[in-house]
Amino acid sequence: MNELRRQSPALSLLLIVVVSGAIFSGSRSTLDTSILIAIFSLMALSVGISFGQAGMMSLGQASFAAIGAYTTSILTTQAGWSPYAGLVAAVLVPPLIAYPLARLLVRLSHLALALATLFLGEIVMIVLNNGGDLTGGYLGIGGIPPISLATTPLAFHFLAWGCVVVTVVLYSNLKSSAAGRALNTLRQDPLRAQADGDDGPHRLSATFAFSAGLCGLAGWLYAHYLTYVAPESLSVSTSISVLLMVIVGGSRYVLGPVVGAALLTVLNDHLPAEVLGLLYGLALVIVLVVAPRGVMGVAAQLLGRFRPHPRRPVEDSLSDRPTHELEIAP
Amino acid sequence: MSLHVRGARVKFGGVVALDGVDLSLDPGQVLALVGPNGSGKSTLFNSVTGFVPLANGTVTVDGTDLTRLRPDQRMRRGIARTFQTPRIDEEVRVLTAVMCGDLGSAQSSLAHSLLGLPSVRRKETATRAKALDLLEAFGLRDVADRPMGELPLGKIRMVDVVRAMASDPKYLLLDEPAAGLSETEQDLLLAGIRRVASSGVGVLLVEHNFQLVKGIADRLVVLQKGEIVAEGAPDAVAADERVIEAYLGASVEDIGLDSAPAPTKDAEVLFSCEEFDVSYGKAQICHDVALTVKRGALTALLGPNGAGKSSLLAALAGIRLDHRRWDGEATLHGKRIDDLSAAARTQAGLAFVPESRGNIFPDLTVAENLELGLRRASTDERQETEALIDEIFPALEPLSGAKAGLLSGGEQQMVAIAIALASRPSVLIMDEPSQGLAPAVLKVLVDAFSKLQARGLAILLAEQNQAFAGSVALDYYVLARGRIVAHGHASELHDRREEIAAAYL
Repeated sequence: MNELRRQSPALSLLLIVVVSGAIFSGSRSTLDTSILIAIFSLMALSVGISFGQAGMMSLGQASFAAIGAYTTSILTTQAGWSPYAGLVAAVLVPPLIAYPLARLLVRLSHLALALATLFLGEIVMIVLNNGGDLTGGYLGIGGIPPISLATTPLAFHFLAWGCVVVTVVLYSNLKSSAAGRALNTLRQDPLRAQADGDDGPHRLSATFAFSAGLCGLAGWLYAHYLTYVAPESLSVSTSISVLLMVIVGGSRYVLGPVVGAALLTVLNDHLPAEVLGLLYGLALVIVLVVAPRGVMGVAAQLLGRFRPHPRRPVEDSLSDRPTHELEIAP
Repeated sequence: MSLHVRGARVKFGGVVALDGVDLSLDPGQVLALVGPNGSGKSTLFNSVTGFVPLANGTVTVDGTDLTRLRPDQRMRRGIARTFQTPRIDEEVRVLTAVMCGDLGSAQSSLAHSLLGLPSVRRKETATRAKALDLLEAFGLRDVADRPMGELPLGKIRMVDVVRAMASDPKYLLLDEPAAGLSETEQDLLLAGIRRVASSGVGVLLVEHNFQLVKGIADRLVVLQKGEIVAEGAPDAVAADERVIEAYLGASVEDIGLDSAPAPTKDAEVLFSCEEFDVSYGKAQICHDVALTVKRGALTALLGPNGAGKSSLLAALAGIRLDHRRWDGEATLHGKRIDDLSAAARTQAGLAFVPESRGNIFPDLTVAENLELGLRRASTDERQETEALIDEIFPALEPLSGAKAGLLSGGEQQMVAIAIALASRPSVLIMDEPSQGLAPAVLKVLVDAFSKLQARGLAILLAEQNQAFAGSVALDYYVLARGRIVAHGHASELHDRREEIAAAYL
């Protein structure tokens, strides 16, 4: 029972994925959007864990995804690896860069890590553009083999969303464990966490490495779905969009990043490109001012209004409330 | 089997904060570390817990050397601590906060937690059960599901103690756990500490409040200027002349002052307060204070460090910093001023000289500093005020072009008082002007005070140094733990030294 309650985000997401897969199974363009949302959701979930839970702001998540995407692309097109072997490499290479980077920087202010990941993005961009035959320069790499398990868009929809659901399961596990409490304490007050006996720098770096691995997974899905990858595909601006998705969705909630990814991707598809920048700026301002906890925060608040918290002491709010309202309350 | 500190020495830049201190704490023992501000209590506390590195010396627990370990490693070896200002996340529920105290023993790897392995789940269940047991034992079970931000300060401090206990420490270090607690809350806390000690945990307590410590500690260690000046059973230590001196200051003869103020007859009351409370957020610092200051008189407000003197004076001056709030009546010239802003109170004739000459701009010259105080004055008033300052502090005149920050402490104190005088006050409130000044400078201040009194100024002076206060004041109030505990004519001060010492210690 406890187990089920803990995994309720993953279960509700699974339900939505299956139902929407059945409804949209005939529409290629809707499935395309859905798969893109799943890929962005993975990146956004990585931000949810490293930023929402642990307070580490990263502007390099798309670069980690690019590293994953190029790793699998190079290995499958040039070294003849199977996409599944490419998956292992795509997930493992980004953490190898992320762990030492975080280890060096988490002791400093959060700004230091944000700036370092921004620079990392630029460096990755330069390397990809000038990688010669290995990276294909600004043209990128084409002809990436599809994944044999998911050759149709519908199958890929389930594969990509399956990855998201598994990630949500892992995230929920993390959040309800001592490690999750440690991350929250580290975000709020590193000194406090140290007094609680936690080795903050190591824990933060490991968490950052895990989030980079998730981005690598997103990059792997991206490369093998589109069968093409270029330096501009996953750039710094993608990192910023992903961060925005997390903030709009609600960075502290497990499903916040997924909700944000869905919202912004759909808006992205239906609005002209000229107003997008304006929209992003506006969305950020509105969220920061009106709903700093994002869409999920607003939803939780609305739900809480219909379902009053049973443990909250009644006398706190009794005095200035009209009596008839109390009678209606369940 | 005990916690040992040997030859602890800590330097901050050129300042030696701790100079060769030895300390030992046995399981089940309550050891209190007391001493005036700046005596090195917190430094010692932090060097035991690993938050401040030792320049020399060692810290060992049950024979294991911890000197080179980080705080979290020391914590995992059985040293838990609380913070003077509880560091809390207001949104976190009490139960979760307590469970956070056991992060050290839950050093599970990230992979295990992500996968939700059975071992992690079992540990989680055990941690929760233990946290609930602890909350039950400390009488906090009913608030387990409340967010930390909803609790009063007393409960927050208790939760902080429970959080530290969640890791089953061998030694528990508490940093001023009773600061800002009501007496009921203090009793609860003391009961909690006794329970912890009786379960075999060694407790080290840093505390200002001598009274509180006497009731609970098995042994006292008194620090002054980074060295241990006394050590032993609480009653023996409280009777130690060196300890009394550390708290009250040296006697009059040592300072070399002999002037006694001329007794003032039934002069008019210029300034008074009644039923005056001061608090910061949830912590009430002063309770129900009443005092009066008469025209031409100097009234001394005595009390140990942490009694609430500075908070009271700043509140009387109307300075709202750090969420300071006050409640009660304050009257100047028969008019209520407790609702006025600090600026309006200055206009009404109240001037305030904060602690450590805090009203000086160190980068401005003496003349510029005075100019800031004088900018509202008319030409006549300006001349009059300048003449007054020249008369009272002739030493300032040749220094008018010097940067205030480069002057000696005594000269800076003169500038600080002169700035206050520039607003042409009728009541002058000063917070420890004698702090850190040489006896020769104190004489200058004493002369200045008597000249100001002769001109009809009323002075309220907060002072730790009883001897200095006794030599300048007409009457005195003793503030201890935020309440006025004694009041009388200054001439009695010398005879009541022991009695007042008891209020302090």
